[in-house]
Amino acid sequence: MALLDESTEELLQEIALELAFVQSGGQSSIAALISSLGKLKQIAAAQGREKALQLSEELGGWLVELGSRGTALDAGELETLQQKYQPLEKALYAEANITEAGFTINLESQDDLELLNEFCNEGKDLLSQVEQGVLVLEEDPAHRETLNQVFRAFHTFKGGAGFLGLEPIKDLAHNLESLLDAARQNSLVIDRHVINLILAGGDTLRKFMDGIEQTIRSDNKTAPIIVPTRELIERVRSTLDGNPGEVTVEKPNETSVPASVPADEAKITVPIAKINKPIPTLPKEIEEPQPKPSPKPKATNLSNFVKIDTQKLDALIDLVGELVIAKSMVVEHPVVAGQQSEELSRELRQLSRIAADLQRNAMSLRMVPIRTTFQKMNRLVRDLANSQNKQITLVTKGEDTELDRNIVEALAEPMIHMLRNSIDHGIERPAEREGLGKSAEGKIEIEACHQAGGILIRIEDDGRGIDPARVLAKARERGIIDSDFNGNTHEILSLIFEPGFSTAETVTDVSGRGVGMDVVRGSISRLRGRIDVQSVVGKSTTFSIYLPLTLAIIDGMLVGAGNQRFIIPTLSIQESFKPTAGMLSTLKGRGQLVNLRGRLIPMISLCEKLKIDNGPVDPSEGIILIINSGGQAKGLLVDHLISKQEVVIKPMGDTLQSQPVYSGAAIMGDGRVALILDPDALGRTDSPRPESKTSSN
Amino acid sequence: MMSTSVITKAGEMAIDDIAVYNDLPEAGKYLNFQLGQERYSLAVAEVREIIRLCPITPVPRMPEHFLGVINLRGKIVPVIDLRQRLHLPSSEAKERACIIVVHHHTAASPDQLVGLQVDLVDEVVFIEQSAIEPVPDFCDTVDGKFIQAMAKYKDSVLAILSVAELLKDAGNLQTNTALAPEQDQ
Repeated sequence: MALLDESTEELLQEIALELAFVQSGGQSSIAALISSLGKLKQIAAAQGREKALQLSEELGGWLVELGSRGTALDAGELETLQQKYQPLEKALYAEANITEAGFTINLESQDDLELLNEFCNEGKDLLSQVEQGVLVLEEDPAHRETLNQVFRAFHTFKGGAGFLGLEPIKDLAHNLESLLDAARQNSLVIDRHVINLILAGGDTLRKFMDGIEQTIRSDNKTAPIIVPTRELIERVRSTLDGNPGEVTVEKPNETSVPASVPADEAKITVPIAKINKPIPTLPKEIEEPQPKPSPKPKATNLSNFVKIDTQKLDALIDLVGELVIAKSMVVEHPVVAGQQSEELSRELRQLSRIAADLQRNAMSLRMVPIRTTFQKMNRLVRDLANSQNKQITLVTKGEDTELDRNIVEALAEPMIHMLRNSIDHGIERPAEREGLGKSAEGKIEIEACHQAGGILIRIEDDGRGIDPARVLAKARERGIIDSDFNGNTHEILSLIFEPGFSTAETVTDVSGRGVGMDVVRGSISRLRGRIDVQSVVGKSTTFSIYLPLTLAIIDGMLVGAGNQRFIIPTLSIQESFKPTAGMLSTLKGRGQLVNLRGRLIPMISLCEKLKIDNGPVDPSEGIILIINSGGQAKGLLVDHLISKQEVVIKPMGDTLQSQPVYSGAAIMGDGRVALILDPDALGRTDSPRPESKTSSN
Repeated sequence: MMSTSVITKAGEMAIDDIAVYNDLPEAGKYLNFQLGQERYSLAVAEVREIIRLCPITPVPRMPEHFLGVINLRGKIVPVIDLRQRLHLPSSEAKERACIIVVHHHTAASPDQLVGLQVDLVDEVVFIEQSAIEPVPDFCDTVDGKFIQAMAKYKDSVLAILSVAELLKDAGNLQTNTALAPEQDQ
């Protein structure tokens, strides 16, 4: 591997040659050496190789001195020259090495692998803390607590990397730590340049984390991980030396960014406003020289956390589920239920209460605040707004809302898609906004809150909205709908979730490849949720995502079909009713339809679908549930409704993998198993080859 | 020591089923059970437990030999009617019927449990290596693959069944082995 570039290599060879002849060569040799060293110095300076620069300068100076004497070198001087030259060569190679910043991870045992994995996980946590902190600093550069937090994050990083012998990471983290330390000591002002440096540092560290993760998961565990850090470290160092490079510095005591920024330059503010807290106004900030008592949510204090293997957690939750079932079997047992003792019934009530509390607690172990996902959005909005010269404020509300860890993680991707859409297509450019009488600064609000036993996540922007007429035209053009499509505004807007739909005028690298919203809907429905869109043209667009609290429990409707019972997720049920004969009609070749308030909805009989014999022959004897099946309404005919209850979802195992109609099973209060139906799969027509579409969990 | 080696062997068989035909099972403890008058055997290392017949929830649209699923202390365990799996006439005599819960090893999930419903469980016996013989040629061609070997025990002959073969594609409507289950965590 060529560590040095060609010209440096050539120079080094020249110098080595001259060194060999310097004793006999006399003055001309010294002159040649001086000139070579001068070139080397220039290269070193251009590439920011500090040490080499310094050494070549020293050596050059010393040689000039010798040369001016006009005599040849004696043996002692020659030795000194060689002694001085060696460190220079070393420094050149060493610094070139850092430029490459490659390292291989050294795995001696399984423990090392685990340590590295741990380091990556922790590192990612730290990096999101850093990102979050930086966004706070952008608003309030002097916020001491945040400064300390970011500093500590880099410090922890350095420690971990040092312990694992990951030198390039350690170096970078060390430099970033110094940067933050300088800011802590008030010897450096956090301006935009510094913020960008910190963010770039965080990104580079993240690349390292990704590289390590990729390597420890791959077969070739000795592949070097190379992430360039050299240039960044140089920038950090020069900033520390009070020379921030080509980036303009803002005046030290200036907290007001907007005033100093030229009108055509994009201003990005991403304040993290609390629900009841207005965005802090500028004068107020100036009036408060002391660090404010945390006006914005900080990354949570991690000291009181215990890391637990998720398998252990799942086992615990399973056992608690068992306990609850066993409890209800005892309580409902005829012998126990027949007892008249008041004391017994009191004890049983106590038992039930403890079991219920235990279950709730066990479930909450899997729950994490949605904050981490929202934090990612902050950064995304900042970067996208920056790159598109738009001014956007992101307001997040309800970050403390807790959701199943798996959902929180899986939610990031669809949310990124939607925010990209909002920024790309929704929010107009500042000039355009002002022309429309809006404030130049666009606003995106994301909010999480509890609703109807689930979670509602709302993403609202005050951009140009979605024009139903354009959606309709586009859908026709793309052949998504027939020409006789006659839906209301809401139904028209919902067409944006159809595959192959995109209203983007131009394809950008951000969004608009026409895969956006149907992917979003797919991700949401995999989480057993659903998504809705509302829009006022010229004013706003709101996406509402309804999600269950957890993937482990669903709110289910227990229905009977034949002599069996099944569970249908309540979230996908829109309504249920007892049909009258007049509501039903049979369409030749297309099965039965049910007429619900003028809407013709295709109907599926659960008994027929599942090939259960003893179901009702006459549909009007049963109950029809309108379910949301793959985005479309379908009528599902069942015999009767039994009850609505929360059930713990259990995977059905490999043996049932080929069966697409069930998404899992649940153990009912009587200890027997009931199968959970997958509404999406129910709506699909039976293909000869069943798709493997079971989402087992 | 011995039991672990048997477990490993069972695991290998599930993945590499060719080995089933070539290798005779090793001497060891076997669980004898009956389907009608016929006597069968399973290596005890493959058996997790034996439970009494309990309410089975049918799973519509599954193959006929698939009786449904049961709740085994919180785990959902599929149950297969061994009579139907072996294409034997079904029996009405259920009073002594049991479910033998066996370990099922697949490449995707190393330890699944599957129940096999049998008419009657006899006893656990030790079978010597010398008593184990390859399956004779005259064995039924369809069901022959389920029988791993024959064993003489006292004055009767036992058919040692292969769990891996019994459960291979047992739950699939089509023989579709390419289905890799999505592993959620």
